[in-house]
Amino acid sequence: MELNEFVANFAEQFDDTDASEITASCVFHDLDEWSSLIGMSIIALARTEYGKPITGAELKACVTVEDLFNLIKNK
Amino acid sequence: MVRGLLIVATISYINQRGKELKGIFLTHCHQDHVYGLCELLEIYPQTKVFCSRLAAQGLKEADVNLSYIILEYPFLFEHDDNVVILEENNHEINGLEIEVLSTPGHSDDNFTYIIGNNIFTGDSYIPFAKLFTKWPRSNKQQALENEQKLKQLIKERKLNVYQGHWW
Repeated sequence: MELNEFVANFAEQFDDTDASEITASCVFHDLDEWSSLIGMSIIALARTEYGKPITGAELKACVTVEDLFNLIKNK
Repeated sequence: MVRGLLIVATISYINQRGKELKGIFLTHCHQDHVYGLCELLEIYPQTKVFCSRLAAQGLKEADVNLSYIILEYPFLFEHDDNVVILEENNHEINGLEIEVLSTPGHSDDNFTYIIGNNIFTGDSYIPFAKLFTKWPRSNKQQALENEQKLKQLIKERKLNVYQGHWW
Protein backbone atom coordinates (compact mmCIF):
# COMPACT_ATOMS: atom_id res chain seq x y z
CA MET A 1 0.00 0.00 0.00
CA GLU A 2 1.65 3.18 -1.25
CA LEU A 3 0.77 6.70 -0.15
CA ASN A 4 0.69 8.17 -3.67
CA GLU A 5 -1.60 5.44 -4.92
CA PHE A 6 -3.87 5.91 -1.91
CA VAL A 7 -4.07 9.67 -2.44
CA ALA A 8 -5.08 9.05 -6.07
CA ASN A 9 -7.76 6.57 -5.00
CA PHE A 10 -9.00 9.00 -2.38
CA ALA A 11 -9.21 11.78 -4.96
CA GLU A 12 -11.27 9.56 -7.27
CA GLN A 13 -14.14 9.63 -4.77
CA PHE A 14 -14.66 13.31 -5.55
CA ASP A 15 -16.51 14.61 -8.55
CA ASP A 16 -15.83 18.32 -8.73
CA THR A 17 -12.74 18.77 -6.58
CA ASP A 18 -9.60 19.17 -8.63
CA ALA A 19 -7.24 16.27 -7.95
CA SER A 20 -4.40 18.76 -7.45
CA GLU A 21 -6.16 19.96 -4.27
CA ILE A 22 -5.92 16.51 -2.77
CA THR A 23 -2.49 15.76 -1.40
CA ALA A 24 -1.21 13.71 1.52
CA SER A 25 -1.34 16.79 3.75
CA CYS A 26 -4.81 17.85 2.62
CA VAL A 27 -7.25 18.45 5.52
CA PHE A 28 -10.03 16.60 3.80
CA HIS A 29 -12.88 17.61 6.13
CA ASP A 30 -12.32 21.18 4.93
CA LEU A 31 -12.89 20.37 1.26
CA ASP A 32 -16.09 21.96 -0.06
CA GLU A 33 -17.25 18.69 -1.53
CA TRP A 34 -16.63 16.61 1.61
CA SER A 35 -19.80 15.11 3.10
CA SER A 36 -20.90 12.00 4.93
CA LEU A 37 -21.75 10.51 1.52
CA ILE A 38 -18.13 10.70 0.42
CA GLY A 39 -17.19 9.43 3.87
CA MET A 40 -19.20 6.31 3.17
CA SER A 41 -17.43 5.82 -0.14
CA ILE A 42 -14.07 6.12 1.66
CA ILE A 43 -15.18 3.38 4.07
CA ALA A 44 -16.11 1.32 1.01
CA LEU A 45 -12.71 2.06 -0.56
CA ALA A 46 -10.89 0.88 2.57
CA ARG A 47 -12.92 -2.31 2.58
CA THR A 48 -12.88 -3.19 -1.09
CA GLU A 49 -9.51 -1.88 -2.27
CA TYR A 50 -7.43 -2.58 0.84
CA GLY A 51 -9.49 -5.20 2.66
CA LYS A 52 -9.47 -3.13 5.85
CA PRO A 53 -12.59 -2.18 7.80
CA ILE A 54 -12.69 1.34 9.20
CA THR A 55 -15.49 2.98 11.14
CA GLY A 56 -17.11 6.36 10.69
CA ALA A 57 -15.67 7.46 14.04
CA GLU A 58 -12.15 6.52 12.96
CA LEU A 59 -12.61 8.39 9.70
CA LYS A 60 -13.84 11.47 11.57
CA ALA A 61 -10.78 11.39 13.82
CA CYS A 62 -8.40 11.60 10.87
CA VAL A 63 -7.35 15.09 9.88
CA THR A 64 -5.25 14.65 6.74
CA VAL A 65 -5.34 12.17 3.90
CA GLU A 66 -2.06 10.78 5.21
CA ASP A 67 -3.66 10.20 8.62
CA LEU A 68 -6.28 8.12 6.87
CA PHE A 69 -3.62 6.27 4.89
CA ASN A 70 -1.82 5.41 8.14
CA LEU A 71 -5.06 4.33 9.79
CA ILE A 72 -5.84 1.91 6.99
CA LYS A 73 -2.26 0.71 6.58
CA ASN A 74 -1.89 -0.07 10.27
CA LYS A 75 -5.18 -1.95 10.58
CA MET B 1 -24.37 1.68 18.64
CA VAL B 2 -25.69 4.61 16.62
CA ARG B 3 -28.15 2.27 15.00
CA GLY B 4 -29.35 1.13 18.44
CA LEU B 5 -29.70 4.69 19.69
CA LEU B 6 -31.71 5.72 16.65
CA ILE B 7 -34.08 2.81 17.09
CA VAL B 8 -34.56 3.58 20.78
CA ALA B 9 -35.20 7.23 19.93
CA THR B 10 -37.73 6.26 17.26
CA ILE B 11 -39.56 3.89 19.57
CA SER B 12 -39.57 6.44 22.39
CA TYR B 13 -40.98 9.07 20.05
CA ILE B 14 -43.78 6.76 18.96
CA ASN B 15 -44.60 5.51 22.45
CA GLN B 16 -44.49 8.89 24.18
CA ARG B 17 -47.04 10.23 21.74
CA GLY B 18 -49.26 7.16 21.90
CA LYS B 19 -48.78 6.68 18.18
CA GLU B 20 -48.75 3.57 16.06
CA LEU B 21 -46.07 2.95 13.44
CA LYS B 22 -48.14 2.12 10.38
CA GLY B 23 -45.65 2.71 7.61
CA ILE B 24 -42.02 3.35 6.77
CA PHE B 25 -41.15 5.05 3.50
CA LEU B 26 -37.76 4.20 2.03
CA THR B 27 -36.12 6.69 -0.30
CA HIS B 28 -33.68 3.96 -1.35
CA CYS B 29 -32.12 0.80 -0.01
CA HIS B 30 -28.60 1.93 0.95
CA GLN B 31 -27.52 0.68 4.36
CA ASP B 32 -27.21 4.14 5.88
CA HIS B 33 -30.93 4.56 5.19
CA VAL B 34 -32.22 1.13 6.17
CA TYR B 35 -30.15 -0.01 9.14
CA GLY B 36 -32.58 -0.57 11.99
CA LEU B 37 -35.46 -1.42 9.68
CA CYS B 38 -35.46 -5.11 10.60
CA GLU B 39 -35.36 -4.34 14.31
CA LEU B 40 -38.32 -1.96 13.97
CA LEU B 41 -40.30 -4.59 12.05
CA GLU B 42 -39.63 -7.12 14.77
CA ILE B 43 -41.11 -4.69 17.33
CA TYR B 44 -43.91 -3.51 14.99
CA PRO B 45 -44.63 -6.56 12.80
CA GLN B 46 -47.73 -4.99 11.23
CA THR B 47 -45.83 -1.99 9.87
CA LYS B 48 -45.67 -1.67 6.11
CA VAL B 49 -42.50 -0.72 4.25
CA PHE B 50 -43.19 1.42 1.19
CA CYS B 51 -40.54 1.70 -1.52
CA SER B 52 -39.72 1.28 -5.19
CA ARG B 53 -39.48 -2.15 -6.77
CA LEU B 54 -35.73 -1.79 -7.15
CA ALA B 55 -35.34 -0.77 -3.51
CA ALA B 56 -37.30 -3.84 -2.43
CA GLN B 57 -34.96 -6.02 -4.46
CA GLY B 58 -31.92 -4.18 -3.13
CA LEU B 59 -32.92 -4.79 0.48
CA LYS B 60 -31.95 -8.41 -0.07
CA GLU B 61 -28.64 -7.84 -1.85
CA ALA B 62 -25.62 -6.71 0.19
CA ASP B 63 -23.77 -5.46 -2.88
CA VAL B 64 -26.74 -3.27 -3.83
CA ASN B 65 -27.67 -1.95 -0.37
CA LEU B 66 -23.95 -1.48 0.39
CA SER B 67 -24.08 -3.39 3.67
CA TYR B 68 -21.05 -5.32 2.39
CA ILE B 69 -18.84 -2.39 3.39
CA ILE B 70 -19.71 -2.70 7.08
CA LEU B 71 -19.49 -6.41 7.73
CA GLU B 72 -19.77 -5.81 11.46
CA TYR B 73 -23.41 -4.83 10.87
CA PRO B 74 -24.87 -7.27 8.39
CA PHE B 75 -28.25 -6.35 6.97
CA LEU B 76 -30.44 -9.39 6.44
CA PHE B 77 -33.92 -8.44 5.33
CA GLU B 78 -36.50 -11.19 5.70
CA HIS B 79 -39.72 -9.22 5.95
CA ASP B 80 -40.99 -9.46 2.38
CA ASP B 81 -44.59 -9.65 3.56
CA ASN B 82 -44.32 -6.14 4.99
CA VAL B 83 -43.15 -4.58 1.72
CA VAL B 84 -45.53 -2.55 -0.44
CA ILE B 85 -44.18 -1.57 -3.84
CA LEU B 86 -45.13 1.92 -4.96
CA GLU B 87 -45.04 3.50 -8.39
CA GLU B 88 -44.48 7.14 -9.24
CA ASN B 89 -47.91 8.64 -8.65
CA ASN B 90 -50.18 10.22 -6.06
CA HIS B 91 -51.21 7.77 -3.37
CA GLU B 92 -53.58 7.83 -0.42
CA ILE B 93 -52.18 5.63 2.31
CA ASN B 94 -53.97 5.40 5.65
CA GLY B 95 -55.65 8.72 4.92
CA LEU B 96 -52.36 10.40 4.06
CA GLU B 97 -51.93 12.02 0.64
CA ILE B 98 -48.48 11.12 -0.63
CA GLU B 99 -46.89 12.16 -3.88
CA VAL B 100 -44.24 9.71 -4.99
CA LEU B 101 -41.57 10.85 -7.42
CA SER B 102 -39.07 8.54 -9.05
CA THR B 103 -35.72 10.34 -8.78
CA PRO B 104 -32.97 7.91 -9.77
CA GLY B 105 -29.38 9.03 -10.14
CA HIS B 106 -27.64 8.69 -6.79
CA SER B 107 -28.82 5.11 -7.18
CA ASP B 108 -31.35 3.55 -9.50
CA ASP B 109 -34.00 2.88 -6.82
CA ASN B 110 -34.44 6.44 -5.50
CA PHE B 111 -37.86 7.76 -4.55
CA THR B 112 -38.72 11.20 -3.23
CA TYR B 113 -41.89 11.69 -1.20
CA ILE B 114 -44.00 14.81 -0.84
CA ILE B 115 -46.44 14.94 2.06
CA GLY B 116 -48.23 18.24 2.51
CA ASN B 117 -45.60 20.98 2.42
CA ASN B 118 -42.80 18.58 3.20
CA ILE B 119 -40.48 16.84 0.77
CA PHE B 120 -38.31 13.88 1.73
CA THR B 121 -35.50 13.73 -0.78
CA GLY B 122 -33.19 11.07 0.60
CA ASP B 123 -29.93 11.45 -1.33
CA SER B 124 -31.55 12.82 -4.49
CA TYR B 125 -31.20 16.36 -3.22
CA ILE B 126 -29.19 17.51 -0.21
CA PRO B 127 -29.21 21.31 0.00
CA PHE B 128 -25.71 21.68 1.46
CA ALA B 129 -23.96 18.84 -0.39
CA LYS B 130 -23.05 17.93 -3.92
CA LEU B 131 -24.74 14.91 -5.39
CA PHE B 132 -22.84 11.70 -4.86
CA THR B 133 -22.87 9.51 -7.95
CA LYS B 134 -19.94 7.16 -7.51
CA TRP B 135 -21.83 4.02 -6.50
CA PRO B 136 -22.05 1.16 -9.01
CA ARG B 137 -25.73 1.92 -9.68
CA SER B 138 -25.34 5.69 -9.86
CA ASN B 139 -26.07 7.72 -12.98
CA LYS B 140 -24.67 11.22 -12.77
CA GLN B 141 -26.68 12.68 -15.64
CA GLN B 142 -29.96 11.35 -14.23
CA ALA B 143 -28.99 12.55 -10.78
CA LEU B 144 -28.33 16.08 -12.01
CA GLU B 145 -31.60 16.20 -13.95
CA ASN B 146 -33.62 14.98 -10.99
CA GLU B 147 -31.85 17.32 -8.59
CA GLN B 148 -32.79 20.20 -10.86
CA LYS B 149 -36.40 18.98 -11.02
CA LEU B 150 -36.57 18.79 -7.22
CA LYS B 151 -35.03 22.23 -6.74
CA GLN B 152 -37.65 23.67 -9.06
CA LEU B 153 -40.50 21.91 -7.25
CA ILE B 154 -39.21 23.06 -3.86
CA LYS B 155 -38.99 26.63 -5.06
CA GLU B 156 -42.38 26.68 -6.78
CA ARG B 157 -44.27 24.98 -3.97
CA LYS B 158 -42.21 26.37 -1.08
CA LEU B 159 -41.60 22.91 0.35
CA ASN B 160 -39.77 22.11 3.57
CA VAL B 161 -36.82 19.87 2.70
CA TYR B 162 -35.94 16.80 4.73
CA GLN B 163 -32.85 15.27 3.18
CA GLY B 164 -31.08 12.02 3.92
CA HIS B 165 -27.85 13.40 5.37
CA TRP B 166 -27.08 16.12 7.87
CA TRP B 167 -23.34 16.65 7.34
